[in-house]
Amino acid sequence: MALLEMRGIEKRFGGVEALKGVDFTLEAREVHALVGENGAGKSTLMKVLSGALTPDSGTILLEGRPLRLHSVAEAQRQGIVMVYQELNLVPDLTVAENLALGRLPPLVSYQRLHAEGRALLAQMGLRIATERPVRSLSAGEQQLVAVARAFAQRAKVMIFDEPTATLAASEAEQLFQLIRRLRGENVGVVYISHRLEEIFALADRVTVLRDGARVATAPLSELTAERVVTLMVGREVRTFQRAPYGQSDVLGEFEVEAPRLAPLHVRLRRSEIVGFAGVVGSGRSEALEAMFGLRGTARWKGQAVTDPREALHRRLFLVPADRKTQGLVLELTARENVVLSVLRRLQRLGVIERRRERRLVADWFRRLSVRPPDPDRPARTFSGGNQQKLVLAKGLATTPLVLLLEEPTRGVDVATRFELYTLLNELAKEGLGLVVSSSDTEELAGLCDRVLIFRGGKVVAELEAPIQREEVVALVTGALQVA
Amino acid sequence: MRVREVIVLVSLTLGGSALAKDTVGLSVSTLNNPFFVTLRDGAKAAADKAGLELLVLDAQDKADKQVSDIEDLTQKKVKVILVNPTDAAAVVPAIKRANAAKIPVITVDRAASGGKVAYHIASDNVAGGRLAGEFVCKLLGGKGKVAELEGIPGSSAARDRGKGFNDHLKSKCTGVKVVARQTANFDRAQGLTVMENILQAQPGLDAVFAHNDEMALGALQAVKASKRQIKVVGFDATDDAVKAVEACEMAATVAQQPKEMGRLSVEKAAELAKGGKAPEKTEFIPVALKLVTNAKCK
Amino acid sequence: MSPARYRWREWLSRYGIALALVALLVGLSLLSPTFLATTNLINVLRQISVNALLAFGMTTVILAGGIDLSVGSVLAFSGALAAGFSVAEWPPALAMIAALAVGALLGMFNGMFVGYARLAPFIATLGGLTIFRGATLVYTDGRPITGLPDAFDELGNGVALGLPVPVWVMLAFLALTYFLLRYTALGRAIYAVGGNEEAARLSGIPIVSVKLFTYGYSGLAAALGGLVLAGRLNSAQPTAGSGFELDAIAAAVVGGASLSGGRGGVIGSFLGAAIIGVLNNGMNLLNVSAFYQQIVKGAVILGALLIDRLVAARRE
Repeated sequence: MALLEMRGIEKRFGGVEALKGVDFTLEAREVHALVGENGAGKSTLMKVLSGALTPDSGTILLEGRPLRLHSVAEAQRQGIVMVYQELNLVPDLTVAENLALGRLPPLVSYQRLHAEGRALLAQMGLRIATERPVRSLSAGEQQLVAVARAFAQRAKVMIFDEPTATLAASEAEQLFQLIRRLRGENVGVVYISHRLEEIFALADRVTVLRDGARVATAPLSELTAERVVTLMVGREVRTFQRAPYGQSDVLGEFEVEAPRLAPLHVRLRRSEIVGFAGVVGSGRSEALEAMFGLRGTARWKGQAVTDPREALHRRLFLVPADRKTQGLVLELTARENVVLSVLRRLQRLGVIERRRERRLVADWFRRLSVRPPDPDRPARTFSGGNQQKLVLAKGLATTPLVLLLEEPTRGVDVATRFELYTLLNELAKEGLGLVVSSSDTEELAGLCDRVLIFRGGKVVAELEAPIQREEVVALVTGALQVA
Repeated sequence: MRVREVIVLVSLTLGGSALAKDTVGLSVSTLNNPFFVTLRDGAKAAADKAGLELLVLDAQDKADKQVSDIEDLTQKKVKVILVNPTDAAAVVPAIKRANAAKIPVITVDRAASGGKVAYHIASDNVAGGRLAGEFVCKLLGGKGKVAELEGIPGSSAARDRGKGFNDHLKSKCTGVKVVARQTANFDRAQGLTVMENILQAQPGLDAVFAHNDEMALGALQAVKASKRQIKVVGFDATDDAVKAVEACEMAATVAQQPKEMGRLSVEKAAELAKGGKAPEKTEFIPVALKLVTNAKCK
Repeated sequence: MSPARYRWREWLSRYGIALALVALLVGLSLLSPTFLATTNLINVLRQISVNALLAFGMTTVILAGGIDLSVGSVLAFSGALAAGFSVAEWPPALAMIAALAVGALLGMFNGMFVGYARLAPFIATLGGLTIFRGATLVYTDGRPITGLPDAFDELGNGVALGLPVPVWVMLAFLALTYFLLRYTALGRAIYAVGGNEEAARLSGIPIVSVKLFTYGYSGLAAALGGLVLAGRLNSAQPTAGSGFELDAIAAAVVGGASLSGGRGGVIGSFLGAAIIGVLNNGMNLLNVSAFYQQIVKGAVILGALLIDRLVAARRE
């Protein structure tokens, strides 16, 4: 009997099917890797398992018993624990206290607390002083403590989601050793990662998800990295074809320096679309944010970009990753959002000229086909795709020279996605320079003239059009090493 | 329903005041102070006897609330407004408005600094301060250091009691010196903290005179805690203070007669309500005072 | 949610306060015969003027995501300054303008701690509350300043075209603030900063300047209230304005402003101040004890907050 069985799990979000009847099994004493591209459904599946989401249909069996999980707390009680770095630990308490959190007796004997803590850590093969406050530990050490804690809670199933994203190599190695130890203690481990070399080093079996469905499950000994990549990517459904362009003059150069990022130079030409590819934490998002003045130091055409106001002044614009928390003021109307960056231009003696405002908004609504065409509705009433158009309109209203986009089609439906690609193409044709940072390799391959591959904080490769999607995935995951 | 009943009902709701008793309004500074509670009780008893309705509004020692209260009483067209001002100057505009509405105004216990007031009914606070001064002088044998806890700055009570006390000391008892003088706003809690501070600052203190019993009782607590031999003299003769004097904890207090004050003010109001004529200039009606001591204490 | 129900809810959240006010007026007029008299209603308007002024200033601060606890103290200090200058033979107009300027500066002083030092607004303005109150006590030596020139009496007690001067001042400031928030770029920026500061920053809005402005504006409103109150009380009281910040916040919140910023407006705050004022006045006329009045006021504010939360929750 398998330790854990998930059968026929389905989950919809609005109009999007995130999981299409997925099966997943986990044996005790096994490390089972879960891979897939962004949006394939890995995180969703694990959120269902850890109790954070309830599936629309399907069953979960733990040691043969069916489970109805309504909350994370309940899942934890059953022994299913997701290891999050930030959420489990209390930074101001000591290691020993954190290890015992939730299992403290009414009267606490600190000697016992520390003794138990030390014993637990020894069992895990960890060398961390129990008296240290958690906030004084490195990210890697905190991760290990979180794992030890989960183990102390009698976890039967432990789920790791991209655990090495913020770890140094040596810390990652410690984590792997710990995971192997867990395996020895009868725990079943689910390991989600983009980094294929880790998976091949650590896991026993792998399940590949693609577009919400399970594509394959097999022992790793029977697979190669290339095969896994092919399974992840599958056959392309429809690629957007970039209209080819010739070389044109240089708009300018970005020089970027930011923490966790190697110094970066990006030369941008008119009508060029450059892509940034890489996993979370690879540095692509950090680089883009730095280029807009949000972190680190960046120079555009030799002069510093100190903050977003300066960036806008220099005719750069950033379409941020999260339109709800960064792109729009949801309570304001669509119109008010669209003109937010050009208030200065629309005013006379401080007062906003309503007619010019209305005309500007109507123009952009038309150009971008925003639906419904009612600018006086609050921004929050628009669908994800149309909200993204509003953010774009806001940026385009500033008549920028350079458009920076972070995950431009995240959470956007397929039809609007295509509209956006067409639009970006047109903008490039009109002479804008675009930089698109994305985890969607299909998007990058179809849209960009050049793609810079980020790994571990630096650019490890640069691909020129025509861009092969598999090559991007392979380089991003490390399946393909650059010579 | 029949027409007659409708008319009665409507007139009851609309012309309420025509059938009910005459109403007199009392805007009191604060009912947190037992002195004014007794004053209100005295007023109420007199109102019942005179067949008048008494409407009491508590300003909670807030000048702006008192102005609103007086305005509301004016609005209600009460027959007479009794005002016990929290601040002499602040109530003047409201009193003027009552004047404009032809409602007679009587000030109680504290004066207003303007407006047309028919009667001012208060203890002769200057005489009371003098009584306290005489007592302290005798108590200390003509020589010593005293502290003075003042009432709300600007109130006539504080001004007058202080004047009576200090004038007497300066003219008839120069051996007794006031070494510390602070306001505790007629409040017991403030009396305590201010006295604590004074005790810290003044190593040699023989007595303290507070402009009212609330402050005196607060100061008494501070003195008791310090274990120093300091005589405490208050003003008002509230129940708590009288008990303290009987227990020899407080040396003396000057008895006002708040109930008498309340009664007198309502009696005068009744006169005016029944059509009596208000005097041209404000007539001061003093209420007698006496010193309350305990000869049995050493 | 069907479009009809959706629109109904939007309508309720917009006009709910006005409805509540009307219901209150109707109820009180049934309970007290003198309530609905024109003179009484004018009374009420006069009584809420100072609080309304403060509430308008407070609204701009709240809209930008902040809060200003120091307005009561700024009111007192500005009133005292204006009184002091007048008594020292300055021309009354000059004294008043100087007091207004000082109020705005004090407000911006607060604002600098919030904008530049990034202190939590609650803490920064709490400091302002105590500091400015202390300054008032020092300046007035703990005693009321009396003997003010007629200009103050005119301001606080005068009547023009049938309405008390304070009411005109309130309406004028209401109009000014409304115009600022609705029609100017700065007003738009205030809503954006309060609604989503991160998005506003990414859109190039100068966050710190906007916040500084709102605090300065609140200080100005408080100073204006201080002048009116000094007129009404015929004196500058050292304890003036104590607790007024809570009433101003209550008026704004009852009127629909969200404490997290980005939602609300001055018309709502005016209605909120009116509701509180009507309640106070009605309870006075009904001879309800002052202690009960506090309880009722608190209950009404809680009720308004709950309703606002329910409407907002359903909306999502």
